[in-house]
Amino acid sequence: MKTDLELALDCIINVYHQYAVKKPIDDYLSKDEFSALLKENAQPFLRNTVPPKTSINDYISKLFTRADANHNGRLKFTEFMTTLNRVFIDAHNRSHKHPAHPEGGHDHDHGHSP
Amino acid sequence: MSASTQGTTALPETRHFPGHCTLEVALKTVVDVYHRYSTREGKPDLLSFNDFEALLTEQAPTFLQACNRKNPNYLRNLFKETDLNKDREVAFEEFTMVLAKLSDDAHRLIHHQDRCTPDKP
Repeated sequence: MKTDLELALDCIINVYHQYAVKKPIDDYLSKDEFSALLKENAQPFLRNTVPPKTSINDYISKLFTRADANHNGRLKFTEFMTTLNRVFIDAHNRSHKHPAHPEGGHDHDHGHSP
Repeated sequence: MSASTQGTTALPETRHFPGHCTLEVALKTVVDVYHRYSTREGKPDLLSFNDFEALLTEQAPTFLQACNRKNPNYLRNLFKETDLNKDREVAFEEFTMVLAKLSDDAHRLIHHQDRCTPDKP
């Protein structure tokens, strides 16, 4: 019987694999797979942390380069985790911003539920 | 339910978890679990050693079962290693280091890889 934390981490690994298996079929994320993963699953993270005057695509490129520690043009799981740590931190920050409902502020969330 | 294990590098079958497995739901769960323990003692958004120990013991038993992690000093040492600013509390940002270890372990398990050797480049 898995714990909540174990299930959540298994879910995250599952998401990783869904994108890593796209062409080529392997256990690595190419830049395109990485980009698709973030755009399709981590919109709040991208919106909240993109630096000013930077496009989302440029930001994703920077994240990819930063994560690719051995510079082989693809991310293995532990390299991907370094980006995921930032996504976790953003999720934690958001949990402290939205107790009941969003107050007026920088967040222009019009209820996009993917 | 168990995947066929033809080789160590075989990709796992896509599993279906109870409920709706999305990244956003998983993130909320992780944050929620963190808060369940951080609120127990001391500052509500920080993990004391007792909070940290309880969290891992109760929420990460699979991780602790392997590689001699049940050694009594293991959690103490892990806490010290995670507490980067040495304030005897682990903040969420510091805790992500532990999440990375837990995820790496779970990923290796799925691929039937060795769990105890350091990460290969």
